[in-house]
Amino acid sequence: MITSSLLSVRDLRISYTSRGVIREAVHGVSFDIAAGEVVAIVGESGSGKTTVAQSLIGMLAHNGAITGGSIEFDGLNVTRFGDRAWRGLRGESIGLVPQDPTVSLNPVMKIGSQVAEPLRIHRNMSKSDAAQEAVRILREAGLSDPEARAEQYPHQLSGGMRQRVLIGMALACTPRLVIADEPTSALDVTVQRHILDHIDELISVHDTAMLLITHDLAVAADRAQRLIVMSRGEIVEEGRADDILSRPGHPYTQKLLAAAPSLSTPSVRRPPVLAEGSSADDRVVRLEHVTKQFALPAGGTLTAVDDVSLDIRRGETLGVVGESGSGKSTLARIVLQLEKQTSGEVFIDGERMSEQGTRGLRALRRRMQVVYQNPYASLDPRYTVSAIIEEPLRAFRVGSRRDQRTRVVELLDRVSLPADTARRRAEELSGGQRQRVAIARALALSPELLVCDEPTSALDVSVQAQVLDLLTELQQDLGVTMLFISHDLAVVRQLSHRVAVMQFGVLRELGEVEQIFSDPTHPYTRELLAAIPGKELVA
Amino acid sequence: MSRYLTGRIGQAIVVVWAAFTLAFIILYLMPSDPAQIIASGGLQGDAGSEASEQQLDELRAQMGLDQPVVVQYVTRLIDTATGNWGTSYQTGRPVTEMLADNLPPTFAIAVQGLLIAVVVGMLLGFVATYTRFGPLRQLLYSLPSVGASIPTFWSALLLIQVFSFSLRLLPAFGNDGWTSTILPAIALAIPVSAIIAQVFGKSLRTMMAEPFLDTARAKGASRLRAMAVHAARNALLPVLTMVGMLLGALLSGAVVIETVFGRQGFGRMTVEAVNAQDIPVVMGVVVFSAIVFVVATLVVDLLYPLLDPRIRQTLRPPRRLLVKAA
Amino acid sequence: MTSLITDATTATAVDHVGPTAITAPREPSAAGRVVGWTARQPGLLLAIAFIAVIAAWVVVPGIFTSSDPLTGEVADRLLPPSGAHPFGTDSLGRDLYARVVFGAVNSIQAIMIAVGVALVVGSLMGLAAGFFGRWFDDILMRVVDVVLAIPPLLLSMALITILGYGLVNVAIAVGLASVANFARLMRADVLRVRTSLYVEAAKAAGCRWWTILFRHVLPNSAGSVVAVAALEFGTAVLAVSALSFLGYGAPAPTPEWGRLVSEGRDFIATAWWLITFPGLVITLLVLATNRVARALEKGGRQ
Repeated sequence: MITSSLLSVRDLRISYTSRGVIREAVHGVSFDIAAGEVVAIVGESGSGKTTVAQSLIGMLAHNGAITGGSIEFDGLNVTRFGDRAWRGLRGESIGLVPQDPTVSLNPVMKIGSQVAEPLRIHRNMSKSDAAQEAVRILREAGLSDPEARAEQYPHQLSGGMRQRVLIGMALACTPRLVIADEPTSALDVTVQRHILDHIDELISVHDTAMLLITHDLAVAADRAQRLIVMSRGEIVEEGRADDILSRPGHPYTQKLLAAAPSLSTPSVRRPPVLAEGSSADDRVVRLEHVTKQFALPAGGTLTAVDDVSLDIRRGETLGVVGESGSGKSTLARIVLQLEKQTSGEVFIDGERMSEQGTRGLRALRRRMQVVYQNPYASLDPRYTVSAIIEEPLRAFRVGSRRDQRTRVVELLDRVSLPADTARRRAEELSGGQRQRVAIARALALSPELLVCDEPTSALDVSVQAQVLDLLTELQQDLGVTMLFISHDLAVVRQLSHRVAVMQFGVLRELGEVEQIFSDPTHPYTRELLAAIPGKELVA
Repeated sequence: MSRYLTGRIGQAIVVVWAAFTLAFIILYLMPSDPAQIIASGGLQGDAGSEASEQQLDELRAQMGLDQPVVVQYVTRLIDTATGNWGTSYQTGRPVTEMLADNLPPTFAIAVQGLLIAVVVGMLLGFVATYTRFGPLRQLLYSLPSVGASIPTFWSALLLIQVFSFSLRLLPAFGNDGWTSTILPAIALAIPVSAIIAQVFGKSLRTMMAEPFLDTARAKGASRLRAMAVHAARNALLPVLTMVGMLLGALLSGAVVIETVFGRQGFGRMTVEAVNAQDIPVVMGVVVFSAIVFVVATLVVDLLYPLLDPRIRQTLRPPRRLLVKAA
Repeated sequence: MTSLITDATTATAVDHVGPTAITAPREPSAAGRVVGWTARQPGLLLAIAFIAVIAAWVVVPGIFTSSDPLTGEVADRLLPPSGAHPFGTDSLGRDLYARVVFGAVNSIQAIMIAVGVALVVGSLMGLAAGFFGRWFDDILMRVVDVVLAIPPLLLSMALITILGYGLVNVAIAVGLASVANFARLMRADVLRVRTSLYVEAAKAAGCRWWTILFRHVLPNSAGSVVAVAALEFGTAVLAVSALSFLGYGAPAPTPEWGRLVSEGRDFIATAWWLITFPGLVITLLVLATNRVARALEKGGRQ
């Protein structure tokens, strides 16, 4: 296998220099990729996986350098290649599918010219020949009406279409190796699956090898023959995909596997069983025909939430699932009354929200609190953790200063943070810690309703698992009612009693969690379920 | 498109009207007495020659200053809109006529200055970003900030000192012949090219860090190609939006430059008008500069979509966007 | 890039060990970091040193020169720079160096007034527009648009036409002409902060609007305004000196930098030093304050 390898990386070390300080980010990594093989590097942020990928195409950041080891590609030692030598390989022998299709195309250049560019550079094709070839590539990339697409600009295409363009571009000169760096993490799940299927198809046709870089063990397992698990600049485990999934050797892989929501069996975490026979009037939240429209700057309106009716009972967790643009976050903001609905009615504890003045709304804020998606943006960087957690207490003048202090320590303990965190500033904390602080702040006033808007999607998988554990614990111990918004069906499944599926602002389906997962009635729900990566591996 | 155009022209007219109003508030509503000023011969006039109260009243009546403010405002607004920009206190000539006389020489140095500034500024910005030779990069980075820090009156005087008196190459003063425009044009271009170099360079560097540039490099494009084909056109957009401001900088630069070089023109006229508290002329200067800004901005707005296709779409009449219902 | 990677590494590392093990390495104090960062930048140090010298000229001009800025020996007229007269002498035999040193107080005073007027008036306008929004914002920003349509120097000159001559009037005119910049910047900043997630979080936590304004919006938007104030200082130096060069500033014998250059104009063919030195001081001051402004801007972002 080693003799026939296309890419051979030996003891690769990469360092970054910043402000005179040298830090090694990759500590002696070795692996091979054979011609036509699909290999995935899996790791969380900071694992060095992207750095390795960049070094394989000679595009390390300007302050990064290979400090040891070697990279051999197709019999060439490329370790010390200069920019000019790399130029001959890039696009010609090694293609790159970048991470975020929405920003990876030149916004002021036509799609066709951008796809034709590698042909113009490497094949010396004339403008018209390259343009014709570009149309063929676009057709092969699965775009409808490729002639028209070639004349369009990137902003006129959806994210999924742009990623198809980028894939076509990477494969334009039929390279021997394609590096795909998180090629779908910026896309919705249903689109993600189609794109990955398409890459699979294209590379098998051209017998191209692929190195897939991903944080998602499930995606990697679905697509690659071989997995390389990286953590903190080192390879911790390497082997055949199904071997690693069934018998993970390294503790880190085991942890990653246990934390991956879509791979874990549903019984890992379960929400507490609701008390039976509760009366009909225990509905904390009731939405009746709620519609929200936004005026678009270019004229016209966008209906973000379209005639949604649902309710949440006391102690219950309602999961709301949908892709981007489904209106799920707007729905959460309407429940919190941070956004006024255009029509329809919102009842909190039986009180009609449209009748509430500023004073009434403020009183209600005491009873419902929110945890946001991005803990980096939702905490004011200037303040200490204790000032942040105290804020709601001070806003409502709850207790004396001393009581507030005690409450902060209590809350920190509740979210499993040590008491001395109180004195630290938010910017010194990691993402997971920040999210715990945000949860502590939301719990400060002992709210009846906790709205969680994608509380884990900005976090690494293993941290995500810890935060989900914490939320489950809170359900159990405090019996708090929760509205849980997520794009990730698997996450919702672990936490919710009932699940609402939204698409284009419309409530497609609402039902008990088991019914949604085992017997979905709406086709869109079925499509969402089918798109979960790694599903077959569990079943 | 035509609806957009009329709307945009309407907006431009509103800005000019508002600039007129602002100038009116400053020049006619402030506690000062134009009649007094004329009678005493402007700011530099002889304080001893006090006019009698009766003479002042006559002057006020003659200038319409005895009428209520609203009437004065409306009269002047209508006059200005119909091309009657008032008469200079100083020369007794119509303001529009004075503008027409004084603009051509200023235009000559402003156009040359702008050309020099655009070429030098863009070149500086591009090369500073392209070169990887440390010392050169450092030098090209710091040149624009030096250029923006030099007072124009000083650089103009230094140019005269070197090129007119030491080297005796070019004339130092006056409006005679094309050689007399070279030094003023260079002096005008220095701060403007510095601004262009700074903005263009900064936006180029931002573009160089954009993911789509990585895409271009991953296709095998050279650094030069990636910069020239992909980064430069995107980086040009912020520069384009500044054209109105740059023309303003040229106009106010002319005020100082024409004084230094003893050239007749728009700037010199402005200085003389301020010296003589010649309110109608000052008013004309302010309104004219606002018109220049507004027209330049309008032209840029209309050209912008040609360079940035993302804007093109919003120019179309609003369609029902985002109707992607299943 | 690197810092991102390493931060993330330590962050995940902490989370791996579990939430009870938060012991971040001790960071140096904020002041210590600022001093250390400044010390690594020779240009910035030079700039600060130059500003310090100018400040000393303003406060105690007497210790920098023993010559009188207002009277001179006619016999000493138009002497080139020498040991006795480092910047040379002018047409009345006055020591130019002394005139530059004693002129600092006049120039700097005017510049300070200009920056103060622009900062206070502009920031308040922007703050009000950004925070209250709606029609108030619309009207205020339309006014700002109009002010931006008129070149600042011409606007200042229109104001001087009415206010009259004098250094203070020039300063006020320069300040008022730059109000629009501050208003726009402050408004944009307030809007950015106001729509940020942590302000919404504070709102959701039940904070009243003034708590949000004073605890979250103001402190988080003031930083960039300070940086722009420093930048505005350089602009004001140029504007004030240009207007006093044109003769609108201090009357005849008073030393003031722009005026000194203008006095030297008549002797441009014979006495090069008369325009060179005052102009150089102005240029260096603008360069120095711009350098500090850049550092402040960078520091504000970190």
